[in-house]
Amino acid sequence: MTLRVRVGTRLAAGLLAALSLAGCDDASTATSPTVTSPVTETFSGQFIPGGSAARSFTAASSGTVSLTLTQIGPPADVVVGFGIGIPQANGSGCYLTQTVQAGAASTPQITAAVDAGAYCLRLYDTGSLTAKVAFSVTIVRP
Amino acid sequence: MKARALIAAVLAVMTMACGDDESPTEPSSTTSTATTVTYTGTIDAGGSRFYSFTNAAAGSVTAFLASVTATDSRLPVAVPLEIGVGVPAGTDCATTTTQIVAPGLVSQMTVSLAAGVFCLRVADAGELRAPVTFAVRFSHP
Repeated sequence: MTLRVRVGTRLAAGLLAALSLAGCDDASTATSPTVTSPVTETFSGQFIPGGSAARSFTAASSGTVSLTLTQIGPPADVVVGFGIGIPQANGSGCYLTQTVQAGAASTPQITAAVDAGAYCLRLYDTGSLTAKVAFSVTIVRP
Repeated sequence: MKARALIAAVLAVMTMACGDDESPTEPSSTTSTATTVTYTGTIDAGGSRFYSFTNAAAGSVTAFLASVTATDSRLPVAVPLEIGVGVPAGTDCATTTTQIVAPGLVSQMTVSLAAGVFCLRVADAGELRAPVTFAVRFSHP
């Protein structure tokens, strides 16, 4: 009996010490902010002669958006219309702000200052396509 | 007896909660939220359109002419338009602030207004020769 009381006493004392030493951990410990801007994303797809392709994206803050049509074709030297604007409410396309005639390049063909908000890009045939083309656009946004 | 006292102490420690000093409370002040609107329409040479809106609180209205495109091709045309803010007056909008702007994607007009009903007007600045479709993005309190 004495042995059981001693074992119980030691066990209880150990538990008390362990629990007393356990601290309250705050889940919202301060950490270094993660840099998330600018953001780079890629829009790839295909469109047919007379057709177009559009994609919406969001600028999290004011800044500069740059769009690079990195791939288009075949043929590799094809030129298409390329523009930036704001999305239509029904999601069917863009209200275009500015456009250029663009072929594939490694530097941005469109650079625009923007406020925070939703924007879109649009690629479209200007009459030169004779077959379906594949494309890839790099979007860099705030 | 000593064991019972220790067990009681253990139970007391176990029931202690880790608490946050800042208990949730009702916000002491309200933060006004801006409403963003994309206003679109078509205007002809000499024409105008307006859109009425209600400011829920005093604050700034910002606007930019995002797009001016030909109605047939839907491609941009290099024509500036006049945008303005004012108060509804009959079948028109009596503007108090106007600006002639080319399309862009950053705020072109900022106007401080009281709470109440106001309007945004888009008009031909004198250079239209054919109908165009416009899109204006604006935000208000």
